[in-house]
Amino acid sequence: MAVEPLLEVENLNVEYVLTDYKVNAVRNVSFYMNKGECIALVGESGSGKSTVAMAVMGLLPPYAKISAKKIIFDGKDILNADEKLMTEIRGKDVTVIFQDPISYLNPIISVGEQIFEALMAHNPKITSKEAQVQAIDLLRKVRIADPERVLRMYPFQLSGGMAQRVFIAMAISANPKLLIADEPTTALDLTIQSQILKLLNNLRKEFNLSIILITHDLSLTSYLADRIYVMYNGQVVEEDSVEGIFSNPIHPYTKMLILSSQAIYRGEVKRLREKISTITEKGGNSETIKGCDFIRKCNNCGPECEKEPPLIECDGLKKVRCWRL
Amino acid sequence: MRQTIFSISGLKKYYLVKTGLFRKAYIKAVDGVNFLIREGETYCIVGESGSGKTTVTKILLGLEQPTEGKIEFLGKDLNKILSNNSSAKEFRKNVQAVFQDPYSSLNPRKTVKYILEKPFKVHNSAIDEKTVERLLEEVGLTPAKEFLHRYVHQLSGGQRQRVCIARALALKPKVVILDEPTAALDVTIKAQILNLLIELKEKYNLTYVIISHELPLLKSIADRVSVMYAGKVVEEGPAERIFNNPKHPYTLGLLESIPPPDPKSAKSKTLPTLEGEPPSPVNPPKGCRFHPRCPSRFDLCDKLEPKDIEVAQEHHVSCHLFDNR
Amino acid sequence: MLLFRRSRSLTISLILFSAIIFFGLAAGILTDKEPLRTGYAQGLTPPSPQFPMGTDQLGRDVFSWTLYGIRTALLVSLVSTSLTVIISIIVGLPAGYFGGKLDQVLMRVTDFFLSIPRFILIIFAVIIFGPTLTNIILILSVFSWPTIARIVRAEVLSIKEREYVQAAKVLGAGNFDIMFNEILPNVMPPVLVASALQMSDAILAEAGLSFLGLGDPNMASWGRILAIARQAIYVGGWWTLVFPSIFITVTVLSVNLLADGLNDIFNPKSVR
Repeated sequence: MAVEPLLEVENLNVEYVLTDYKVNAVRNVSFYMNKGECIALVGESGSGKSTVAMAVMGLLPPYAKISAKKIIFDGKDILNADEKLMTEIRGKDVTVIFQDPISYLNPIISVGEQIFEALMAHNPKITSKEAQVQAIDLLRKVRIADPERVLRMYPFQLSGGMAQRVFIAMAISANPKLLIADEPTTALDLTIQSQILKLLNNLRKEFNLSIILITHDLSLTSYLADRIYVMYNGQVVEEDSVEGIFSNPIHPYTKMLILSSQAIYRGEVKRLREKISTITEKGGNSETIKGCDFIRKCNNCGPECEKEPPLIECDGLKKVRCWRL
Repeated sequence: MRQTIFSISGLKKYYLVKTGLFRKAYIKAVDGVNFLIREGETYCIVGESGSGKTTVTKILLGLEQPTEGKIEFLGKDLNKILSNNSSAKEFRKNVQAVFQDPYSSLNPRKTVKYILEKPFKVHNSAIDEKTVERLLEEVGLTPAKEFLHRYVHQLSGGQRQRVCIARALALKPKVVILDEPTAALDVTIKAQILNLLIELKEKYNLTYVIISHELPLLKSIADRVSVMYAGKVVEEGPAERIFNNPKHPYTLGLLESIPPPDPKSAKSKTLPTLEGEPPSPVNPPKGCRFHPRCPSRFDLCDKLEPKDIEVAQEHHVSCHLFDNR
Repeated sequence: MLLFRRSRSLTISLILFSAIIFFGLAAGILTDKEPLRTGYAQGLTPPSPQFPMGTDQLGRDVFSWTLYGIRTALLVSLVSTSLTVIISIIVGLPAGYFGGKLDQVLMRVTDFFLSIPRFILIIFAVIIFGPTLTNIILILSVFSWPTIARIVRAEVLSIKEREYVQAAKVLGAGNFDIMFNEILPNVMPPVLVASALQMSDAILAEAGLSFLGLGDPNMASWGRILAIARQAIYVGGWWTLVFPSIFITVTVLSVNLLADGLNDIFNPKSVR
């Protein structure tokens, strides 16, 4: 019995058109997620991972040109949706949390007022008494110990971890179906990071929340994610279950990510020198390479690699963008 | 016997803040710490926000004056060194720095060539056309000629950090102080930069003082580690012991918060988390500063500050658990 | 064309400005009449092929006067603004960088200058020291630097905390080196924008002074024609008002657009 996926994106393309040049931020990206799943978009700067999520939410700047075969969320077509539908979905069914929580909170109003605003946006008839009760309840859900006191505080008085919890509280205030977490722990200390990860995992279980985790740190995905999409230069280069990615990475970029993460974790960075070729990062200029992005950096390339490879299915959930399998 | 590079004892740095119209309070950023850094070692200072590690960096670099304490560089008082023009210049030649954000630590209006020639100009050192090119090659920026006339915004994060490293090495210093050298970089680039740092240290017999909150990274490079919390050093010792046999509950909590890049082990147990947040630097807790968050605390911990106790050779902990009197 | 897409303001202002400069420099070729010489005609005459912009009551050629007026306006404004910027940097840079007592003293001085009605003081100064070109330029500079100096100081305060300044200190660079090589180039963008606005201010100030009869009598200034126009229009001499006014407006507009355009260039995020 096939269950309808919660989110389905097919052939998404995003192009930024600026006065002097164009950038193809996202090229032909397709992914899906089922209810209650957590998928991770993993990639480094310039991979396009954040752009994908923002495109789905309709939160890209006006100079971004989006095109796709389909974007369907909860059965609704949001590729061609008008602003009215998007505003309804945003904040209610799909919410986002970002990297630096304090800069996304209004600095001149208290935490309590901001949560009330969030609650009122989706329930205009709410009374202030009800809002107070719900706000305290929300803060308890995100494991804040002294909710009454925190409601009175201002964002600058919050620590990074607290601010992220408040942000998460506002995000779940309307009981969303999908939470997009864009680098949620990058700006946080290690001990706070693990607290937030634990919180996200608990929220997921308690409320059957689906999560899209966007990160450059592969280690985070091993804890939270079910499936991973590895992105490089605007494309998905490998997708698989999280176990499949870690135990059997096939694409050279995936291999390099895994090797780097594991080497760092085990303190064996020196041994990394021999194993990987130096894959140069994208510089300030966007060069267009014909064919596979890894054509000069892969040990395994052949003549067919002059043509850009498509995503090819392997066994199970795995798909790899490579001719030489 | 190796030479002592930096000898710091009883270092305190308090900042004065006004909390009311007439009331004043002190931010006790660093509240009595000792370090002994020897030639040729990689000394790592680890801590999260509020630990005081950044303040220690600034003091070591002579950018801030300590409130109290003795700091000696190569046996001579740092204050005296810096108050005399010629010895200050000599100090600067010997103690260089790589800062955290590779974007803001390079002047956006200058070319790479200017930035790398500057150390030589400041110290009236001889320079020819090849000097800068050789430096660029040293840090892996090849072909060097391509980078000479680029501006900062034309470089990627890793490339910028390499330029910063090149700048620090230009005058062949004795010591390089690195403040979160890889925090702003992607994972694969972190590994590359770390490798570069290891290579250069071996080649030029450098002494590194690395300040970081990225614990796992330091495993590959550290000789000695000092763990800071709320302005104090809670544990210090050889890297091998700190990572494999840590004693202080905070160090343990910190190490356990590192998510392993391995889904099987990550999901089989819940990520252990250290609850709570670092304390306010204006009003730290009485007794041991870590006690509110400590899973092993007992009745002495909120009354008396723990002493520094040697638990093994050159490995000491600041915790009542080890004080067997 | 690339410039046009990058900044409409800058392109338009450069075109206008170039045109104005061209007319100013080419004044000698475009007209054979001296700007301030009387008696080319018998009193007020309307525009004609011989006098494209007519003449005033004393038979002075308005066309010639307007064209040579460009030189006066640009000379006064460019030189005084340049002096203003130099003084502002000399005051603002150390004030922001060193802080402390130097900063306090310098800021009180600027406070003083900013709290008094500027134009009145300029008038008094010109009366006292005499209306010559040099004096006017110096006086305008003296009364304009405080605004720019404040901007310089504000920028320095924010830039000196940046990591590349710390890095320069760690390298061992001296204070002057840091101030002029590291900080100053990054201070310039907003300062240049403010200076462009200051320049249009100076053009208007000079015109104002000449209008009141306080301009240098040997220089052809638009202000002075406008003073003459006050009487001329009553007897139908509209050309003495209209043509100089158009030139003043266009010049000031182009300088303001220049400021806008510079702002566009220096702020890469403002994509038009």
